[in-house]
Amino acid sequence: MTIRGLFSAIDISATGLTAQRTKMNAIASNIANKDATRTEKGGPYRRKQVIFRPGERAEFLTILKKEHLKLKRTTKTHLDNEETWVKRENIFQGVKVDKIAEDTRPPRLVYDPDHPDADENGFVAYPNIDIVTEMVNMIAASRAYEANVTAMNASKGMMMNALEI
Amino acid sequence: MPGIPNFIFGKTKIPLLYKSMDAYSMRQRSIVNNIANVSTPGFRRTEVKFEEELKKALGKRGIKGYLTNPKHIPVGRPSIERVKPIPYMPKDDSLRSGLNNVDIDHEMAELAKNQIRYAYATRLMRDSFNKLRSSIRGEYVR
Repeated sequence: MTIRGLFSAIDISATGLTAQRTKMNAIASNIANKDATRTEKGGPYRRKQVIFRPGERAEFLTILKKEHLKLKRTTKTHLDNEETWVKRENIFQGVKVDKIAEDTRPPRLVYDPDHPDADENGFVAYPNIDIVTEMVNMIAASRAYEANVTAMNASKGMMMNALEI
Repeated sequence: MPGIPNFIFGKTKIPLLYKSMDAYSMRQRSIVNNIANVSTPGFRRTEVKFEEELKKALGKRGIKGYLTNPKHIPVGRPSIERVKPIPYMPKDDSLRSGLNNVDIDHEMAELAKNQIRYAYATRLMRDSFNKLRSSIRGEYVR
């Protein structure tokens, strides 16, 4: 179980890497399309947001309660039941990309009557993208990616240790 | 350890180290899972409790209940064979990172500690096997 356990630790880090890379791609797309006023669907480009969720959907505690008998200690002299929280192997499932949502905020209107995409009042709808926000999110995603790489290297190092027994 | 004659390994640290390596690998998964979910809104971090359980099993105090039937409920001090790493979610509803209760600095520190503990356990395990081998061969060790 030990080695398999560490292999799945690497898999968990990999889900983190995938998720953060997806986020980076979305941010890169947002920055690149900052001034895109035309899309196939019509209207300006809409900012993309990556939504994460934990890999394990079900609430951990409810699963435990369902599967195992639990005894309560009401006084100190009661003997404790040691096995109430029996280990479940698959509670660590990493992170998943739930969906890539499009920003629903109204577009940024810029007065530019000569622009081919201007409306009858002379306003052009630009994507509502704030470069500073995107940059901050990018740094956060890149640091989270690095943390996952460090964690993966740690698991790798532990497996190499185990091979030296 | 099932299937291995207990009269050789039972006298060494090997069953204990086997337990702790299992526990550390589970803790590694827990830490790694917390790190992977560092930017997941609403995620709750997990921890693995093992050392306290081991301490209880190694302690001399308290009575000990034996299990002679699989349907028995264990009472009192557990034997070492029954010590298991226990994953749990600490009661902590603070929003440390703004999205969930994962504190990345804490997780990285735990990661480093866990790595060292695992390396320590593997080294002790290797030494135990080496000593066992030496005593079987009748060699003088240091």
